Amino acid sequence: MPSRTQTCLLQACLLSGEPANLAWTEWLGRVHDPYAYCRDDRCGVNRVLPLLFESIRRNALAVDRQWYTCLKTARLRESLRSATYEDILAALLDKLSRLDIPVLVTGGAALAASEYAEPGLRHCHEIEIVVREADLCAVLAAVATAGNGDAPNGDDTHPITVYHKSGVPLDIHSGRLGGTPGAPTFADLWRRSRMVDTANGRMRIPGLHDAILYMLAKKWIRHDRDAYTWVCDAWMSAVAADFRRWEDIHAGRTNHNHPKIHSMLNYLEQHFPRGIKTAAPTTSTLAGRLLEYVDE
Amino acid sequence: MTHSDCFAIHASEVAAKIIDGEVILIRLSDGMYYSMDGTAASIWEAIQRKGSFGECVENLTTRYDVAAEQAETDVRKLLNELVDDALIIPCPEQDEGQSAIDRIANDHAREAYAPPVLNRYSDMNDLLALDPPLPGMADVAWE
Repeated sequence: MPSRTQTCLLQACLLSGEPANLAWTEWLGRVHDPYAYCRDDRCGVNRVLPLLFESIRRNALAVDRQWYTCLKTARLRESLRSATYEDILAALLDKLSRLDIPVLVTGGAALAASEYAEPGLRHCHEIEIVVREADLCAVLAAVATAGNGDAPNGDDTHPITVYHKSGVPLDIHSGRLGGTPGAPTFADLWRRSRMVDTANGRMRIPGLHDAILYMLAKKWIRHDRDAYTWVCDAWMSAVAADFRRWEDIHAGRTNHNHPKIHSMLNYLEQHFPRGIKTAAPTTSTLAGRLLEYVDE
Repeated sequence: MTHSDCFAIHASEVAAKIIDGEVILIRLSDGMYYSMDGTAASIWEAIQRKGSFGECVENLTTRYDVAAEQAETDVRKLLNELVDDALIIPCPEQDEGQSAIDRIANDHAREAYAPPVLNRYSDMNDLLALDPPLPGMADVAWE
């Protein structure tokens, strides 16, 4: 779970008004030198600097002039990088479309396109797609060609990874999203999927619950050191539906005893309570489905 | 450098945006970062419109409390720095009447003057998420 200092920064990035201001003030008091803190961080803080910049503008937070210049630069660079990332993704989808291969885009790119105000606010590292098992060879033949970096390096589980010549990894899930027998099948994901508009056209992504639950589970499975992105993803997903989705996830907490789910939901409830308080009642058992993604 | 010499942003090399009055510049080839505000940002606004050296000077003298000679010296110094760092390039002169400088009425109160400064950041990369792709990469095909 994020530390108190990390939580303050997350609250400063994601909340509005006085709660954001209080969190920002506490964070500044804790870190003393924001530049040094972010420079030395190894938990992904640089990924949320564009969100911090937007919050400073939105909430008129007091900020040191030089530090603000750094945040503007981070915002501009990530915006430019995101545009290139989207172009690479679009080129991939175009190529697979020409081969009549149905593709679901998942991972960060799916959430960036569907839940964030603009993709440049959500740093995406790899491209992740889900294809039918029967299409895997055709996909590999299409992308693992000369100029696309290393040879496929998948093992017995998912995903297989190849690299675009830019260095962007492409993770290819085939048949299921996740390496466990209980993970959702391509057919299940496709049935719950949706189309989203992007700067380069349209793409098909998993339904929101599949998308967000996969991102949460992936953090646990991979022991990702990034302390920030999963909270931002959960928050953005909740905000996009007036917090009802947040409640969906939260409501399943008592349906099972998975300690990681308890920890995560307790954290969200404790530090981002607005979503819980304003959420509509639900009988969803989404958190139970989260277990499907976790390799235990 | 004469008053009619014109300059333009080195578009294939540079990404730039004015954010809250401050110019943020990224030199894409090597990830060098720059910023300019105040009088330097005013000069950049003129360059964005492919303004001439003379128009950059005029932009300062109409907006700020500065003598023409001082403004010429400072503009020349900044333009030379921007050229040296490959952020701008000389371009053909504008046609008569194409000047897009926002001339401010003479009775407009002029702002206090500070010489324009180009800030360079060689250590900004320590702060940014630098995993690929590089911004501005043109060849995105999967062949």
